[in-house]
Parts: sequence; C-alpha cells; structure tokens
Amino acid sequence: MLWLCIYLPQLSLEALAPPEDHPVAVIVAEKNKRRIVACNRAATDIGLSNATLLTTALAIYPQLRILERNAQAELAALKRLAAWAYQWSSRITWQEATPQIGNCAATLWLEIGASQTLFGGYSLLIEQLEHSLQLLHYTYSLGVAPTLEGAALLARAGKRVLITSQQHMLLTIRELALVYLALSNSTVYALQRSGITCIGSLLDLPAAALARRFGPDTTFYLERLCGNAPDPRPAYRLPKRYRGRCEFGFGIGNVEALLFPLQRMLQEFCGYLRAMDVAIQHCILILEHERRCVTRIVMGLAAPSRDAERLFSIAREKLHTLSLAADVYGLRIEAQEFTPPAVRQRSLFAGDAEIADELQQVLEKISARLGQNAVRQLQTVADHRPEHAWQFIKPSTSHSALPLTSARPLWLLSQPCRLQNPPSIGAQLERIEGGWWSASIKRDYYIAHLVTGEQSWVFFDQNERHWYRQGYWA
Amino acid sequence: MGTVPPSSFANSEGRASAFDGTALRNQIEQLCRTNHSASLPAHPSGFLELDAQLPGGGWPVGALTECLLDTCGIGELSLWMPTLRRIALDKRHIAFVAPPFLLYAPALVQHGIPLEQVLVIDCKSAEELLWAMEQALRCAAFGAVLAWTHPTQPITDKQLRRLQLAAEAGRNMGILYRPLIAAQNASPAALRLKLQADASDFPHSLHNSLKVVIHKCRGGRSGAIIHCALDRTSQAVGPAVGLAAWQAA
Repeated sequence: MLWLCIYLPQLSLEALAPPEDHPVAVIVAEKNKRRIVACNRAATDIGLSNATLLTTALAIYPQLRILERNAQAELAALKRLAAWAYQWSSRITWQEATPQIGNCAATLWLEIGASQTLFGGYSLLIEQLEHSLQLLHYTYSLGVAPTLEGAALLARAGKRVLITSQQHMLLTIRELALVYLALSNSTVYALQRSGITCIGSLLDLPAAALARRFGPDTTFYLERLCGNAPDPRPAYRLPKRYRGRCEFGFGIGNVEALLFPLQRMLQEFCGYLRAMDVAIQHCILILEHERRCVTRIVMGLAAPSRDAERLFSIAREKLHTLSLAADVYGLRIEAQEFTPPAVRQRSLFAGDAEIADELQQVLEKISARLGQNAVRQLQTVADHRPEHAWQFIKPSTSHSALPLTSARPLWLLSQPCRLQNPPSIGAQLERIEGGWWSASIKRDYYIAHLVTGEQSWVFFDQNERHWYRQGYWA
Repeated sequence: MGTVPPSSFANSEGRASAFDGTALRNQIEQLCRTNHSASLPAHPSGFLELDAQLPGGGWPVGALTECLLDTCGIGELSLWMPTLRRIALDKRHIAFVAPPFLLYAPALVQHGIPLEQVLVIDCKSAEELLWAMEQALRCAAFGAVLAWTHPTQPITDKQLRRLQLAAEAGRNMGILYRPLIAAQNASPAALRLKLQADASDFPHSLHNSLKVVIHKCRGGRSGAIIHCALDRTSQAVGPAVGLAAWQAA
C-alpha cells in the first residue's frame, strides 16, 4: 500500500476567501487569547505570520481583515476535494485541521498503489494529479510513503521524493526536525529541551519511557508513523448525488469575485464526474444570501458533458446577466441526474463531429446570456393560412420539408397591417381560403409596389372588405 | 506546399521522442487551409456582373460586409440567397441575428435553403446583438451570419473592427445591415454596399432589379454601380420543379 498525501496548510483561509490583495487573516480563540492560524501573502508581507497574536497583528496593521475559523467550511472544501480525488484512487481518507497542533492545516490521503498500473506508473500518475490540482489553486505540498503518517510527515517537511519501501522511509525521516511531527507544541518543546533535535533520536528512545512521560498517544503515533501499528481510518465514499458547497467568510457583492471560487468548484465537480464516469446535462448553481435566501441558476447543456471550461463559460454568462440582489455568502453546486459520457475519439482532421460540438458550445453560450428561447430554428407547418404555415422550434437537426404552393415573401409581418388606402397592385397571385375550424379566412393576395421601392405582399380580405399588408419581398 | 522544417521530425538530441499527433495534425490542417484559401477566397454571388467587380470573384469570405439601406423589402435578402443556398447545402449554418421582421420559413424553403441549417437569434439590445454576432462569427460551424442593427443605435469603429476580426478568425461571412446614413462614416468592413430600389423597374412583378453601389471594396475598385436582376422566389420554373431540384441537390 502506498499513500499520497496532499497537505493543505492554508485551507482554513483558502476555504473561506478568494485571493485578494488586502491582508486577510484567519484566527482561532484559545484560552482567552486570539491567534492567527492562516494569513494570505499580503499579510505575511507586512510582517504577520501564523501564531501571531491578534492584538499584536492589529497593532501592526489595524485595517487587517479578520475571519473566524470556520470548521464547517473547511470540511465542505475537504469533501469537494475528496470527490475530485476519487478519479485517481478508490481509497480516500482525510484529516481535518487540529488547531492544537501548530497551524490549521488539513490533510488528504489517496492510496495510489492500486492505481499505478492504470495511470502508467507512479510518476505519470503524480504528474497528472498535480497538473489537475494546480487548476484548483490551493496551497499544497505532496508526500508519498507506505504509511499515512509517514506520507503526511514528508509532505509537511516538503520532501518531494517517491518512497515506496518502509526501510527507505525510516532512513529518510530520521534526519527531519521534530517540528514536522503531528505532536502538540508542548510535547515538541519538552523533547527539544531534553536535547532531542531530530526524529531519529526520538525513535531510538525506549517506547515505554516515552509513553510514561508523554502519554500513550505519542508512542502510538510513532508506531503508526513507522508502520508498526495498523492505522485504520474510515474511507471516503462517493455520494450518489453531488452537493458541493463553498462558504465565504464575508459577503461578496460583485460577480467577478465569485468567478474564482466558482471555477475551482466546477473543476472539482468535473473531477467527481470523471470519478463516477458520468456526464451531466443539467446542474443547479445556488447562490446563498443572508437569512437562508437563495438564488437558483439552472445550467443546461445541449449535450452531456463533463468539461469544466464549458460549464464555467455558461455559468459566467448566466452570472453576468444576473443582477445580484444581495451579497453572496456561499455557493453550492447540485446535480443528481447523470448520463453516460459521450467520449469521442479525436480524429486526425477536424471532422463534422468536432464542428457540431463547437456549434453546440456556441449555442449554449448564446442562450445562457440571451435567454433560453433566444436561439431558435424554423419549421414549416402544413397549413394554407400563411401565418400558420410556419413555427419556431428548438434547435434540432431533423426536419421535414413540406411541398409548397405558391411564391412567398422572405419577410412576414407578425400581424397583418391594415392599409388605409387601396395599394397599387400588380397581378393577382392567388386566393387563399381555409381555417374553417378556427379562424376562417378568405383572401386574395397581390404584389403591391410602393413609391419608395419596396414590394410588399398584400391581400384583400373578402370577409372584412379591407386591404392588409402581410409581408415584404426582401 | 510549404516546406516542413527538418527539426520537427528528427530530434536533434537523438532521443526517441513520442509521436506528437497534435502538432502533426495542426500542421496538416494549416497546409490544407492555405491551399483552400488560395483557391476559394470568396463565394460567388450568383450575379456575373457583381462577381466581375469584386476581388476574388465573389463575396469576401472571412470578412465583414456592410449592406447600407433605408427601406426593407427592396430585395436586400434575395441578393444573398444564391450564396446562402450554397453555404447551407455545404452543411454549414446560417445565423440571422435580430431580423427586423419574421423570417418566413416557407420562403426560405422556396429559395432552396434547408431549414435545419438556419438559426434565428433574438436580441434585446445593441450590445447583445454585437456579442451574439461575434460569437457566431468565431464559430467554424457557421458559414454566414446576418445581423440587423437598429437605426437609432450607432455602432463604433471599434465594435466593427471586432466583428471584422471575428469573421477572419472563423473564416465566416459577416453581413451587417445598417442605415444608409452610416455610409458617411469610415468602417473597417472589407466590403460596403449601398442598396437601393431600382427606378427602372418592371412594376408589379416579382422579377425586378436592385441597384448595388460598391461604396468601399478592399482590394478592388469602389464606385461601381451594378443592377442585379433578382428572382425573389427562385420559382421561375414552377414550384414543384423548384422543390424537386432542391431535394435532388
């Protein structure tokens, strides 16, 4: 068994806030002291760091934006990430952040030993995974080791080496400093004061003495780290319905700021779709406002897909047409109806299928922005009455042409326009009678020539004894 | 055919390189495209006199064409019907963006245009119209995009340039109907035509002519006046025969 660990040191911040230039810090309260556990780049640039006390931080920079740590939002982000990771491995497990141990970092593990043959070896698998992970824009580091704690330790220490055997792992971790261990700050401090500086010298100590001094949890942790004790953890199970949620630490009032978390969420959603080997045609994007108010946006695709870019371009158009009534505090993506994916082989030359696909994408984009009924096709209908001889339909590919009777103009007026004076008419074209079952008509059609040069299609209504214009010969 | 640089096939470092299908594909496509454009830079308009005046012998492909006119119903659509028919039978789509009246489906069938190739896009504002036209022009599935601007809403030079670039990118024909007064302003469109009803017309018949004034023509001479004899129904030989001919095609 080989575990790949994705270590997310900034998750408590990244789960709550899109990146911005203003200094932002996430704090936790412990023993009536409030302390920073994660801060963004702008905050580190002005001298703040993890473990800075809030009072100190506010003295340095009073305009600092402070967010309370939100364990629920972190869990939601981890769940989304786990669903995304399922495409690489069938055994996923995670550990939420424990603020007692240094910073608020979360950890996600994937068992890759069983997946390596499918993806063509460890290095190719990790390369593909990392490429996909970079699209999510999380701060991360990776570690690979035969034990869960070992992989996490290597990831925290930033050791990017592929370790597949237990002996190799033990040799590598011996030189690492104690701070990378998942032990409480006080334990690490006490060990350092006793003259133990690296993990190797800690592992050499008798286990019974360590347990007496620091409690059995410490020795149990070290045994799991070295692979001497089993480390059973509940495995993540892929849900049958998707429900990805992202919560913000503050209200977001403009659409542009929503796009960053939305893009990440859609990437994760498409990872889930690949893991399930399905595609979607409909999904719902929900914007959460205050007091449980929500805005629901239904995203529909012309053909089943699991392309994140395609979903994103539709969502962006939909959001741009929307005027946000209130600040957005959270985003949710929900989907429950899945279809088999249409996986197409790429041909050497751009074929009809690719062009048809491109057309679908453009039409989706246009109807996402202009409205569901903005793009339509025409169809002829078997009816003698000219205004009923056609109809709008949704874009499709199958059509049946009907035999036609007489010349028809290209422009039709939506309503026949009544003429005040008799027009200067040419030869009579035809008489149309019909529609006894609903609106009966009896009309004589002519071409009329106007002084300005237009030619129009006029009729004399035999029932009403009036002249009407119905179209133009464009 | 252009020469292929040797470096793209033989690896200079002597290492065995993986077969790069995408690069080869792009190269072949590019070669096909250049050959294609050399022989077909334009679509024949169906009017011999007009083709003689236009560079490339027809309507420019991959460019924006402006039709400037003040009245609808003088034959402004029939002028394009032979070309649109060719495009539609070539299995490419035609988009009509914000037409001023209802596009009458039976008439399109009479002109020999299969309706499954026709898309009508409704817009509520000038921005939507320009955006939708640009999207359609960039898509290779379309062969021609016709759009009607509202007379009161002016279009800036920058917006027209965007459309011209989009038509170039998608190798599409962009046809923009604008009021005659727009002829006073310069435009980046490749071809600008002034359309007027012909005074020397056969009155009261469907066979009449349209006066086309070439206001601007990139790569050609402007100022020519052509009288195009239009057949507004393409039904010269009777409806049944016309339809049969289309179905056979």
